[in-house]
Amino acid sequence: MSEISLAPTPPALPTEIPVRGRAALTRRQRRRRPSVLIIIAAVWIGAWAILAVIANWIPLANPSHHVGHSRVGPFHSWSHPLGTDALGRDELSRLIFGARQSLAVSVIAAAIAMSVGAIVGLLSAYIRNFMDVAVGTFTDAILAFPPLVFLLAVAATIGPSSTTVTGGLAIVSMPAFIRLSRANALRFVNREFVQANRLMGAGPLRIVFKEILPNILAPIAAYAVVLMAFLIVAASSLSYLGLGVPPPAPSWGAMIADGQPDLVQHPGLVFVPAVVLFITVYALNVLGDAARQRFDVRESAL
Amino acid sequence: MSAAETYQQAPDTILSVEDLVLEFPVRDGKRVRAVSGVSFAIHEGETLGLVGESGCGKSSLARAIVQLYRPTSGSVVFEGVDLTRLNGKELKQARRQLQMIFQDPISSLNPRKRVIELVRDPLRIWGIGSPSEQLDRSRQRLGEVGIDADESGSRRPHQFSGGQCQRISIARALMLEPRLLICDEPVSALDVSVQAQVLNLLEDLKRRHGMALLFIAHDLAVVKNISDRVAVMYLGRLCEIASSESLYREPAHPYTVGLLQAIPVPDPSARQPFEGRKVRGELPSPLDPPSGCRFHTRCPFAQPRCSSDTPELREIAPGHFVACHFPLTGVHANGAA
Amino acid sequence: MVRNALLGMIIKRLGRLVVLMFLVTLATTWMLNLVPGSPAVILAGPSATPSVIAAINKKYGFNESVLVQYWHWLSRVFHGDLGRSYQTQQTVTQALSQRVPVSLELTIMAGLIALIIAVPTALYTGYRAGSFADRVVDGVTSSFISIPGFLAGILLAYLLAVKVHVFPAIGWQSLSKNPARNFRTAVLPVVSLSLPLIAIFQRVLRADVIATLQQDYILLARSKGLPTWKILFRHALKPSSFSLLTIAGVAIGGLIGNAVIIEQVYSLPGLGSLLVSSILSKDLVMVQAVIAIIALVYLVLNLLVDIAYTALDPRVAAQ
Repeated sequence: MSEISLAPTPPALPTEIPVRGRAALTRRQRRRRPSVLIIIAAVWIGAWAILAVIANWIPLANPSHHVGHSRVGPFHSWSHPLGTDALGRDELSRLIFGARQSLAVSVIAAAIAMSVGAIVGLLSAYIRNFMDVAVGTFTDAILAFPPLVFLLAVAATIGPSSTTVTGGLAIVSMPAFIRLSRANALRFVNREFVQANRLMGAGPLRIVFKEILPNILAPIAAYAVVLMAFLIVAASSLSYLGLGVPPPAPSWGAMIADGQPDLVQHPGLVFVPAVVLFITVYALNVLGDAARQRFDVRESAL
Repeated sequence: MSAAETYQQAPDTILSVEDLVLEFPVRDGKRVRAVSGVSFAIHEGETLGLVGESGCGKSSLARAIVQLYRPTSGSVVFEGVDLTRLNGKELKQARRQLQMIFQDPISSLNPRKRVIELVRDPLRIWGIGSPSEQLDRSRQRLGEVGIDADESGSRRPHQFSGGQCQRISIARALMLEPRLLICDEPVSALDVSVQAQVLNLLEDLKRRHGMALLFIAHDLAVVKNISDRVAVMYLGRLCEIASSESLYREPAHPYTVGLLQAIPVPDPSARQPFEGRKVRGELPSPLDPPSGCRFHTRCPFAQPRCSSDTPELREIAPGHFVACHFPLTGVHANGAA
Repeated sequence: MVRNALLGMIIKRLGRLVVLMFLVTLATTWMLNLVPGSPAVILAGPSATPSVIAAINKKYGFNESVLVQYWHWLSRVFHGDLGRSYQTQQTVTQALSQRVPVSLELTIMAGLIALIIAVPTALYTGYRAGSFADRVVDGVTSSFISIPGFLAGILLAYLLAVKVHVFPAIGWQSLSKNPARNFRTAVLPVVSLSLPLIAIFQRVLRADVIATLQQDYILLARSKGLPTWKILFRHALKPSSFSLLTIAGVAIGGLIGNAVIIEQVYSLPGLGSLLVSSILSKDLVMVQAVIAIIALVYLVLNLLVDIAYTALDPRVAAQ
């Protein structure tokens, strides 16, 4: 049950799962994936990450420009190995630049949500009182929307752009980090080493950032991996609805949406990006599970 | 009360605690009194043992003294400064020479840090010395407590035993050269074989650095050899304070006698029985403490008066204070008065 | 005692719900004020004269502060008036009354189907943990979880509507008009919606079933010679369903989000497609109402889940 990541909902927070179920599980009974799968997943994600980074330096057609006949099927031509879309744009190039878009949005959103969420949760645990109430109300208000509906509202308000999508994703992901960080930090704020540090004259900032933060980083980072799958799905869902990164910038969700009218005659236009998206999300889920088990996020969140 | 006043006059008093009260809010707006009106003093270079059952408030008292928990009322005068009135920077300055070591040796050390860094932290916080001087002093202190910094300075706490962790905590507490070190059950979590080593180390360091110690334990056996004077605590109040010798020889409070009886002795027949009467029952809830003398519910000698009047600490022999309406003098206790 | 604890909790949560609803609607009003471009200009069209725009601003109160606008909106809402669409001039209440039943049917059906499939599967895989069947189910649920909602929709449409003409690829027939045709139009969207739910429910329940089956009373039931299915359904299911309830709140959030997308994939006249089209046409009154409704439903469902959880929690019952 460590693999809860229903798209498009940020993965369930481990804190919400009662101890009882887990306590009775021994290590052996916990589902363990073969490490081969983890390696394949890591290679797949790594490969796309590298392609996304070096996309500008590899000889690819411009993803936004018409380069030849439209709707050339995959594996028909050496110059366009994955064919072309309805506007005659190179599919492979769009796929790689789309990966760049998706990965950039997801990584930046995760980084923002993680750093802000971790710090806010930490302060909430350390200061308590008014801070706890304020933070609780804020997270509740965000959680009052189903995540995708919140993202749609943001897109409606500020207009779709990569900044809006990134910001929106960061905000919907934040409550989980705040709760995770707060729950973990609460285990440490009253530890003797924190008290000893106060006696030694350490100020609150030093205690929060140098004493407590290093202790809660591992589960938070593990959750960030778990979250990546959700972010990719949410970003591509928004693109599919036409409320993500605006065209002509390529994105996987938009490629699938663009290909949909041609589904009957040219299924490749949908299925090539669909398969890539599916494998990516699957791989991220595998890595997320591994990270979660490695750092036993649930255990530390309780 | 009178006891504390007298002590405070003494020129060599390093810490004087007066009528200290510590309350915690609990559910339904109620408050629990962990410490209710405790007064005592500690002199330069002295070791005061503080003994009581688990839950009697001794750890809360220790934390209230160092202001980790802010006392509800009363005063804590350390080196002439009332800590309860201080905040922020003043407090940081004032308690620099008031350090504490805790019961749980593992939990006292940040698991993410290397030992040498842990010990160096106090110097870094205070900005004392250059980095190389800080490291030198840290190595030296670690050596003093029997940890080889060259060999294990870069290890993390989980790679050490409980006793070793406690030594590291002690080394860290000594970095700021405290004049009073509060030890909150420093050996309770350790194996018996290791306890003696840590106790000896503390004795040794105390003499070498000329500090005073407040040594907290839950049984009288541990504090017997290390303490100059011993205070006995029950449910947030002090029952008896006396010099170590006098307390062990002529315990005047029935509770003290009870605690002494709990110490295993090599020859049980040599012990004067408590006239066949024993301390019975469990520690009452501090949420709803008994009226009058808090010990009356368990006291084998309780009289009607004990449940109505609260006994104050009074001096029954020079330097021997007891809070009991009917202190045991010579008759019930071992030996002659 | 149990009653009191439960009642106190319900009152507390209801209070919180009301506060959150105010916050949420205020936030949407505020957010909609951030929309670039004046709503009056959008309404009147690019060629409108300044006087027309001024008149529209006055009529809709676009020049007022956010709080005043919110106050107007709120007082209208309490009179049962959610406003009128800028675009179609249809009243918002009317639009909602047409759209809500569609989304409701979809999500309720999807939830039910997910439970019907997930519960027996979870009981069996929990009982035979590590078996071949368990591993197969694990593989299947892994893909259910990893497949984005819109992809599942497109894939099913391709397989069952385009390749094999079993169901219509798009469109909707309302339940009241033609139940049989309604069923045919609902199958594909409902199945697409239920896939991730099946996976979540199965996984959460399976883990709890494994733990429950190690309890002594299960051994006792077994030693009495009860048939396995009876042990699983009668004795293991209820104590294993707490995590399922805990996860239900999150699952509902995902379900609502997915419904928005699936309605789009199959061109269904539900709340989700209304939301998307209103956003795209900047029909802000509609956007605000739909978001408020969705948030309200979501919060109420979460409250119900919490109540069920508290009511079933043996720790509360033991008080």
